[in-house]
Amino acid sequence: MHVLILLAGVADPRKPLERPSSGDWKDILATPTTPFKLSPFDEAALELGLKLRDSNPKARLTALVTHGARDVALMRAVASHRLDRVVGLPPPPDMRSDPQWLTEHALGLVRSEDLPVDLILIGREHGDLDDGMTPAFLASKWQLPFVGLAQAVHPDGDHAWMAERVGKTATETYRLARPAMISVTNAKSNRLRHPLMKNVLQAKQQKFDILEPGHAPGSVRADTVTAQPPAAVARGSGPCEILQGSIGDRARKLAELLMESAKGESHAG
Amino acid sequence: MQDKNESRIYALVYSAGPGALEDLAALHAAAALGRQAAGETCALILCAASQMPACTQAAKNAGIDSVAIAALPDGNAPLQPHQIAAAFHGTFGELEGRMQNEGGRAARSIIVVGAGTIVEEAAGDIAARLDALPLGRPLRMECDTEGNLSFIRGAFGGRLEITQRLNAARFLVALRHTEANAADATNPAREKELTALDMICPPLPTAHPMTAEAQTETEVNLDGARMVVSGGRGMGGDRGFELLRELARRLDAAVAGSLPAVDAGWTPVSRQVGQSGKYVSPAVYLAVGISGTPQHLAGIDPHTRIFAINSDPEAPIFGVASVGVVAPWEEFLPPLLEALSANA
Repeated sequence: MHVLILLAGVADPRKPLERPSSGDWKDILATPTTPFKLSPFDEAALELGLKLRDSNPKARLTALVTHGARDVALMRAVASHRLDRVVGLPPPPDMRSDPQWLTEHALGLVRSEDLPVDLILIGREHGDLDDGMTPAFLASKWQLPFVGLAQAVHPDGDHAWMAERVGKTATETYRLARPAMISVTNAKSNRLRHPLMKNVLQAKQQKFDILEPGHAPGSVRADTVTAQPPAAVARGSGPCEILQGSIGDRARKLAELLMESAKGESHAG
Repeated sequence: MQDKNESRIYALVYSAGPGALEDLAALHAAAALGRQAAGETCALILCAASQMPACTQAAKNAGIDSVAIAALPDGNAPLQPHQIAAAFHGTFGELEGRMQNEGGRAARSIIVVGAGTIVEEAAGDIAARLDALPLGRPLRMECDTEGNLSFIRGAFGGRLEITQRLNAARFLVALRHTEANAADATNPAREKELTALDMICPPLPTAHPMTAEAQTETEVNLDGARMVVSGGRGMGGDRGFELLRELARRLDAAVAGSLPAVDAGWTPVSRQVGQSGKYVSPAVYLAVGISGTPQHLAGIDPHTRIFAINSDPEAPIFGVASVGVVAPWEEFLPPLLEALSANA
């Protein structure tokens, strides 16, 4: 069993984004200013890969890191889970928002004849510029059966996968023929485990293959022309009214406001 | 046929039921883009044969120029995302060809789907099949005097807005329902003569075998809720969410959570609000133990009033809230529940 985990670092959400030294926020795409971390969705995808190996020690895990692949700390964090191979494939800055580039350049790994891939796991969003369309886009281009937003994956014999997800009104379990691609969302059951210290130390010595294929001239489908922090959204009619008084007084005041809002809505509705 | 430097806008609608708000989002958004970019608009609708008149009327009401409808085979609904993508792929080429024959070749095709619907789940697949650039859920579009288009998108978890100028001939966007688009669509002055085209739904690929175990959820649905009670990392555990559920019951509100709360298993992913979760537009959003990151706020409509309870007076949530209470939730929620009971 060979599982390929597609990972994209995101700018560490716990740190403020640093403005590029040029002063132009747009340059953050080419010269990241904030360390990369795995998103909760990518962590969940990685954990599901590790669970598959727990149940089948012969399973081979390959991680393909796209965005943030030049961030050695990110690569080491991935490698510290004792994967069989960790490869980098950083998209050129002007292709970071177009999954077509990844479609073409990751195809060699996906279609590897030496060790065919049985399953591709990917977070439900791929990197800082994806709203969630990339996983289904890649699966379609690679002609793989696909299910999105899974929280658990199990093998079903040697020829299929079972993917569980929480739908609007039901917990759904899909059966996908191998090879397949599954996007993963975060849940308590798939929180990424902590790596063993010996593996963390080993990862510090590891060298990583970084593939840099570039792109054909004229293939950029969307130029990023500006970037800036969003203007503060104006909500309400003024600054926040901080309720004062004892806990009981404030609770009664907030209860009144909530009841008024609820009644107002029921009258309106 | 001579090329024209203009856009043609296609709304892709898979109708899960007559008049569903999410179905109309793509129609209204496409009509709004059409007005902004001075482009022709066309709706491609997949629905049951019995819904075709209602869907045609919905497209007309939205101000769409042409509507192409393909009836789904009986017994196939609800379709899975890859089946929806295949159905649109199988009909889009013919529709685009007919539009070009009748109205000339447009420089760009903007393909619009409704955000937050099952079609958005299929959107990446649709974009791949149609060789369209998937642009996610842009915030707004700009069109200069020469007809060049740019889309402004949220990126980096909502911490940046980037403007992308488009070179692609085809691209796909998922757009939300907005009151402004809906209001414009109901303006009678914008009503146009509708061209109706019949399409044939292609054979669909086989559905993935699926079993479903119904959830016994009795809470108010988050979609369309008029009041939302939401908890974040600061809740610290399941116990706090039990109080939030009780609070929600008394207010007839929906329960929601931030990404860390989902991560911890305190609330299901179907109730996650934020950049990566649901977009909600209640009248009031009661945020408890939520710091107010851009990622979370990106999931709350700007017109929503936020009430915040947080023990940290410096929490950014107080910068966007209308009403705030600085207190630990453990101390504040029990008397709040008592006060609500007294007021009931």
